[in-house]
Amino acid sequence: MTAPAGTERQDAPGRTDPRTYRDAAREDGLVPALTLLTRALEPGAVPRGPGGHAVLPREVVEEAGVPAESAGAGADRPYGAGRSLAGALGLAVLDPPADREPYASPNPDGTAAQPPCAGTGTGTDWTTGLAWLRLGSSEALRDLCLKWLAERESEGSSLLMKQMVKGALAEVLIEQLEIAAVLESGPSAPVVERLQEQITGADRGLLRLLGAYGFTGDGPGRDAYASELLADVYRGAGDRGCAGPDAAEEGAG
Amino acid sequence: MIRELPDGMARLRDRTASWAGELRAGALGLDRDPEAIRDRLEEPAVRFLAELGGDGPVTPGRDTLERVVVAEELARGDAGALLASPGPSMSGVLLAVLGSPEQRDWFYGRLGERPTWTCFALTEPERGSAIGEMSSVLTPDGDGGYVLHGTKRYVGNASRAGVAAVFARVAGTERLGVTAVLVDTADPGYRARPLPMLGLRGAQFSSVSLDGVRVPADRVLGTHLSPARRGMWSIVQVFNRLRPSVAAIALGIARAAHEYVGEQRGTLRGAERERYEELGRRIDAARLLTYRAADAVDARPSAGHLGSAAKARAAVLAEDVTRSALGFFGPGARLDHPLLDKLARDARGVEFMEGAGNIQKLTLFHGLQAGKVGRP
Repeated sequence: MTAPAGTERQDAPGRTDPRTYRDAAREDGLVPALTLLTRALEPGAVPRGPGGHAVLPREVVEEAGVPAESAGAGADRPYGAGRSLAGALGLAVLDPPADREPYASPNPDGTAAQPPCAGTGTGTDWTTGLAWLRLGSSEALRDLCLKWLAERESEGSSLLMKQMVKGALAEVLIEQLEIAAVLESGPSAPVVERLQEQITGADRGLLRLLGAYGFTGDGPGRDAYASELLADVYRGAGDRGCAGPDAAEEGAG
Repeated sequence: MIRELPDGMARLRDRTASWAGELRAGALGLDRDPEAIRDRLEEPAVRFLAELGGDGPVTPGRDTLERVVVAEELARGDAGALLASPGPSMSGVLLAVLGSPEQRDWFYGRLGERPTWTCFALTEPERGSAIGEMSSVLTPDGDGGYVLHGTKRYVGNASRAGVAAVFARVAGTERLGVTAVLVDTADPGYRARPLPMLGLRGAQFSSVSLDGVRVPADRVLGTHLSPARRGMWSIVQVFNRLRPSVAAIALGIARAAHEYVGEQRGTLRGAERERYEELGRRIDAARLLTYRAADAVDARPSAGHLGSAAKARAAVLAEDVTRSALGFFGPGARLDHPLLDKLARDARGVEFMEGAGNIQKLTLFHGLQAGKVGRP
């Protein structure tokens, strides 16, 4: 688990060891790791989630010949600051193609509607890779917490040495160790979905330890926000095999 | 699980609740641009907040509960606008406890001239909100006034405030020598710069540098009180009164997300319905705790432990409900439902207002150990 960042580990001829994405996220950051993941699994394409959205490095989108500015369904509706927060990290946020039915309308029986699949492809590799990547990003946040808390003092000792802080960090570590163990086991799509929620929970636990610093728009909370956005957009992609290639001419981008 | 409120307060709740639609309609615009509040100064909710406090509470003696009721309803509309509006805000509570009649007249006189923002400058870059470890310093000028030096961070509205309430240590005193002063932000030495934040962006959290700001004797709060009551004793009471309102902001955010699910998804069935109803029960329970906390402070201003419990509980609740709400919609919910995305970001911000969860838990432990909380 100590391969240097950016070194693609091979677990089968032509296939990148998904743990590579964890290393890259931990060492280089979320966006470079996402570039690595996309180029390895969907070279030259714009993988979209089951709802038809995409959150990808801007350069990857541009390389695929898709406009990085969203112009699909929903692009004209009111929006908040979320897109610009992701954009500032170098991510392109793409709405679904304009002809896609909206997802939100409920079925008559009150269950959630299932959208038409906006893409085709091998979804499980993508979502598993994404979970490894998000775990690495979460571990990077843990590294940052340790450093930041060690440098700050309260009542004569570093915050890191406070028992409640130690306990909170240990709780997060337990989560991350379990997530890694499950990912190593080659989990099914529903299990990966659960892991995504668990990773978000671990990140939230770490951000609480950073106080308002974890809430700044140009600090570590922004990476954690982007990580949550990825989990949201590609939610269910493993189940539905929707994370496949999205040809430039198909995507309204 | 709805508790009856006194008549005047119930009417105030209904009145403030009626503004939710308008607040919600402007929420995303304010999230994108915190300065958009300047175009909304004539909205009823914004005007209400700008003028709040001049006439006193509608139910005297129950003002903490009243603030809780109002804060929940306005935050249900938009917590960003609640925090972005001009008006006395937290500084009004500070003035109610520590201000002399002349200081209140000056403060509300300034606010009465035009819509004026105020700010409450406590948090510091190195030590957060640990009031006993504050490094901002007031140096006596020999005439009963001070010269103020220091740096503050994450202060809501500081970059557009006309009046700032600033907490600092008097030079030469130890940790209990904390004093609150009023600063006219037009005075030389006061500089504030907005900080980019992930949520609650309307509040325009800012960093503040205080470089030799002169504080005349009549802007030092608490000097008309007995020595025992002018420092930490009163400051603790201010925070006791404010904390339930912060819990109420979290409740409002949670309710906004919960109601959004109800409105957008319509009839829910089976496990989804159960999940939705359970979230509602959790919101109701946290509200009852918050009301109790407000009652306790209104009855006895030093009774702040329940407020710590309410704040810690409601902050976690807001995060949980807003995260769960996204799960009622499909993949890409954060993009298809930008209001829910905003609520999920806003919810995180409550954690660091008025002391983080761990600080509240430590306060509760001390209360438990001292036999001040948890007894019938």
